[in-house]
Amino acid sequence: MSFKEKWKNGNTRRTLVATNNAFGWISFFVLFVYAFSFLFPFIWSVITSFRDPMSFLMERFEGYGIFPKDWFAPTTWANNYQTVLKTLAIPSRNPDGSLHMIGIGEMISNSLLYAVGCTAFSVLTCLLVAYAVAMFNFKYCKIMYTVIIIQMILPIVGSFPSQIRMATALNLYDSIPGMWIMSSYVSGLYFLVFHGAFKLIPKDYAEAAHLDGAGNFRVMVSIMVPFVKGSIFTIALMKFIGLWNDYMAPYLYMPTHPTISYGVYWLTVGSRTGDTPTQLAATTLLAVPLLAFFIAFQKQLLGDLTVGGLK
Amino acid sequence: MQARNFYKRKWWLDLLFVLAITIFPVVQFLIFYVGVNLNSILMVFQKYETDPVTNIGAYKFLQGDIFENFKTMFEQIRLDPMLEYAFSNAFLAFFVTVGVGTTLALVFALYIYKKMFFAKTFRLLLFAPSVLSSIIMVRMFQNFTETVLPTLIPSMNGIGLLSNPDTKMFGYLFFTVWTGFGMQILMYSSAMNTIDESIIEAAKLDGVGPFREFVSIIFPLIYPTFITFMVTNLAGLFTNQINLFAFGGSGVEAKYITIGYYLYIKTAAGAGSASYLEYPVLACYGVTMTIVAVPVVLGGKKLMEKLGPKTV
Repeated sequence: MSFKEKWKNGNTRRTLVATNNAFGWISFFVLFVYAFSFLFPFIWSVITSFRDPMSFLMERFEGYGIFPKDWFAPTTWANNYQTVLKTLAIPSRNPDGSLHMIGIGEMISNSLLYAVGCTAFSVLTCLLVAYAVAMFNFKYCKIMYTVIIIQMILPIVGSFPSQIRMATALNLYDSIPGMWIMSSYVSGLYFLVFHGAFKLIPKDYAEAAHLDGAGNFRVMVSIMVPFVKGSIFTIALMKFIGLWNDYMAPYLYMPTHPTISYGVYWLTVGSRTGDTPTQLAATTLLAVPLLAFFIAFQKQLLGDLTVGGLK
Repeated sequence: MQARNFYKRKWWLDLLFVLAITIFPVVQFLIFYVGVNLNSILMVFQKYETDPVTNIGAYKFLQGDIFENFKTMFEQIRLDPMLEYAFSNAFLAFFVTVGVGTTLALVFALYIYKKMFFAKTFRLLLFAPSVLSSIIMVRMFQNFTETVLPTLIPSMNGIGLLSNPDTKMFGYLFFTVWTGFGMQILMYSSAMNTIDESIIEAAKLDGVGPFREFVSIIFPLIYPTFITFMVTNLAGLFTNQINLFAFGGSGVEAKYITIGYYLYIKTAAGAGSASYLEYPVLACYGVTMTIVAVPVVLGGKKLMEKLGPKTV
């Protein structure tokens, strides 16, 4: 689109008008500082992750520079990453009381099973309930809507002990499929997004399909759900990222199935590895696939997701 | 008659379909929400006892003083300075998150909505911390503020932000706000995008300035989204952990903890081990704080609806 066309359709004009005021410049300055405050430590962390831990430690006595004085020692540049890959193993107790080490491969497979399974279950339950509530007028649906909103508003505090008891009683404690079931609750915020998206679809489509002989299931799967596939994809991506990064729930509910995030937490908190470059190598290893994922799916992740009010 | 039968059959088929697709979420809700919370309530009247013969432990209802666990809890609150910090820090975290975090999120969302300079790039960078695990962000932040920042700022006297007791809490709160914009900005800017452009254009033709445009047009129109986020924040008052577990595992100093962190650590310490003894008292904390938080959240919501700008 040429500049003239952009001007005509208003985008450029809005940009120029909007930035020509104090709000625009102050906000730009604050955002610039924010961007710098995020990018600078990030780049510093990646550079430091390649540094020799000993020379980094020695620098402590001379005062740290913004950038390393030694840059990378060519022979040792990947040592920290090798250390992480070798050290990242968590002791776990077998049922007979003996110990075995859980390595990085098992942690990654645990993470994948945990994140993919929980995402699938939780997105599906949210979607189905939102569809039922948005498309049908039964009293049962209205009750479900009210209960979900109340559940979203009511702050339940400190139910961890009771949850562990319940999970243990149902044989779901310390198991990945158990976590799939436990995490498949209807999240209020995501429910509202799906509900709003379904409400926007004209009911004529469903009615026309019914007249052509399609059943409820066929209408839902072939006609209505494809309309909201953008929202499904965005929410599934957000859920997946959140679950992949989660180390607190796995620590609490599946202690013998550590995920890779918990592994990095285990390695970097406490005294397992004290030196900064190795800690940063571990976090960089965890960050790289996430950033690649983010860059690949940024359009979907940053897509329009609207959530209305709480009625 | 035929039409009536058709609609009756359709009504039943629709109902069966709705029941079929919602049966799993409803059962899950009944077990893991209703059941778990009822269990929490029952737990406050129970204690964990180990049978001396079989050596098997079980929860049993308290005999005699059924409020024994509540008494223990109130005694702990009275005597343990840790809990005083935990509550006051929870309120501090809430006010900072809402006061600073939400205000900035609204300003940034407006900037993105207005498509100002580098709006897309800023949106990407503001969302990036939400993509990275808190453990990644915490390690980056911690190592940077402890090593490079004192070099850059001489007034820090070589002491890192999180090593200095005077700035430690500020460091934790700054981190929480700094990394917490993602979802809010996404939702607020999306809500702003739904505003009819002609309303904004008409206001501009009437000579409305940017500040008035935001206060009188944009904010009232995104107010339902704003209330949703405020209610979510308010509901998280006693569960917010301000990433303390990522900063220091279970060893964060008492002075800096929040009640959400306290409850998590106490439960995590007991999970899978023999210290089920503490669970009934922890359940008392949960039930008591829920009783306090429910009217606060519902009252806050009502107040915001009443005092806020009227939407069309």
